[in-house]
Amino acid sequence: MRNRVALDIRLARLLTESFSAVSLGLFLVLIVLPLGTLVSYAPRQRLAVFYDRLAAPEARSALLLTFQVAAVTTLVNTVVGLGLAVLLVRRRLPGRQTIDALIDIPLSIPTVVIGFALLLLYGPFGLAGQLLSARGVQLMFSFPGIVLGHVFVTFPFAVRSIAVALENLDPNLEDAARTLGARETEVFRHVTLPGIREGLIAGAVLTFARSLGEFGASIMVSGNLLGRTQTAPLYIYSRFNTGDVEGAAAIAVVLAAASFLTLLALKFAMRPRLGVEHL
Amino acid sequence: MQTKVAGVSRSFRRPMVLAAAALLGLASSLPVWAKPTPVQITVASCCVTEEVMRNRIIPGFTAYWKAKTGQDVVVDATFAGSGTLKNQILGGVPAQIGIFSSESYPMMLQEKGFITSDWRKEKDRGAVARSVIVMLTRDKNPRRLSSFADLAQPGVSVIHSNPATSGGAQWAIYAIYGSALKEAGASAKGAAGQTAARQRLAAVEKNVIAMPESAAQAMAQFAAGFGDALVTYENEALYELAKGAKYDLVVPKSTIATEWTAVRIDRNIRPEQARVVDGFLAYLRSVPAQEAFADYGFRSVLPSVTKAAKTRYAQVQLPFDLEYLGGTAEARKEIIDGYWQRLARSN
Repeated sequence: MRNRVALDIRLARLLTESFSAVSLGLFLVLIVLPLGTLVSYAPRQRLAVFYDRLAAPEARSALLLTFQVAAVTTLVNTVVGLGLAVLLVRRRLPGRQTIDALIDIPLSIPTVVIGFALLLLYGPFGLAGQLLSARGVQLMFSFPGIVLGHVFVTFPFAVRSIAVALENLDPNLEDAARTLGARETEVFRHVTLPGIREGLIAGAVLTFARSLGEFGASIMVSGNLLGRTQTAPLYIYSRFNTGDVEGAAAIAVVLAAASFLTLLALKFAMRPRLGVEHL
Repeated sequence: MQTKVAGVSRSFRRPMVLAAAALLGLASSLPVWAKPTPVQITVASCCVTEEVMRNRIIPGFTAYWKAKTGQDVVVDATFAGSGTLKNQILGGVPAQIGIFSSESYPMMLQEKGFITSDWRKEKDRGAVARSVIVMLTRDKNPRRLSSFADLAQPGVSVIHSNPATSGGAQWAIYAIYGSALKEAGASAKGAAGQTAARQRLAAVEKNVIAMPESAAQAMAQFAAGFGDALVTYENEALYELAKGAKYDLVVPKSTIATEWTAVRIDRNIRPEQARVVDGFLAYLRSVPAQEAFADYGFRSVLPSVTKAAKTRYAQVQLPFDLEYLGGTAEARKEIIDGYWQRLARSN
């Protein structure tokens, strides 16, 4: 019997280990291998071609636009996400469950459809479009329109990360501050915000990274004009379709690297510092 | 402890059960192998042909083939913009037939060795359907747009798709460019004609507010209320009007005739597929298939079918084709990759 138990434990360990090995292998095959292929394809023709493609003015303006849009999108979604997360976690809001369920919807609708919905709303026939155009504002096919699309598509990331952080923050800490006479703004600034710092950073970084690669909504709302309203993913797609695969790969590598570095920076920012995390 | 151990050994029993089930499944599928399987072919077809291919031509062909030869065929189809289809085939999508919105795509496939036969030697140089480039305007044409020159007026907003991804957009650009040549009565080679054509294209492109990926997306943006005019295929415009949309279809005084070219992707054809592939290509040119194209707003390559459906199409006063602009390769090099590209950069 004793041997039997020992055997089973060894089998259990073997199973866990082989499961980990298989998972790691699958991660390599499913994720790392395609990325590696992309990186090795871009400079295949000589590094000079790679630089040449990056030096094209449309390529640079597409990259610049993409980073600007991602930055504004991140700002908007982090601020709005923070407000919404506080409402959802700390206040007993009526209809809370419904709002909670609605937040993740952008993840499951095809992004092209999101883009079309925005066109309808902000277009000449849409409610918002009519209100705005009466004031001479035309949002679609311009920078603010692209940001609106990206805000929608990346919306869940910031709210979710911040909400999780808030749930893990003991409300007693905030109450303690209140009993010590802190005003609500002080509680928020000195207790809540530092307590959810990591959720905020994670939400912002995920939003930024997802925004860099956004394609479907952008193609509908951006106008896709070369050098003006064409974001990097749209530029990549159009290079690819004209047969300039090297050009497409060069920009894709820049985007992939930028997004990898942002996520890596996140990992370092999130490394638990002893004594601070677990108050 | 005891329960955990039991759990481990139970999880070991599961693979055995799975393996047994898999063996059973394998055994039961054996008789299927013995029967002759129907021949399967894949057609990669340009996006605007999706409805007519799915609803009429593919079912029509399978029935026709079964009646004619007694053989069951399965025709799978993939639809996307011609540029995307071309890339998918280069990337290994095993399509045996391609239907492209412009000859320039099969030319690229030919360069890479995917096509070894010459579609230009087929009837109508491989064309299986035709159309012209038209303008859709808002209901009752409030801007009074009647030619491509009108699209250059200040304050007019125009939508057409992106020529990098959409074959339809390339035709739109050829139409705008060539209409100036044709109206001036100039030859494509003349310097004066070229200047007039370039000026018109530059002036119209200044008014383009959006250039989405495909003709279908351009239609969606127009439907959402953007643009005074959409430059697109006549068949797309007719299809949209047939669905009840309230637009005006304006056939410009001078415009280009477009055609869809069907080609065999020789590298992907296995010996047992060859006969079906040839049969399908011939069927595309048959009366039933051409009538189906006409019912979906395309212009037929068969004069008899065009004649019967004539009332559907407006007469173009000064029509021209790609040959007028120097042929597929020359026009692409000169107008799209040359002038249009420089124009887009300078805007």
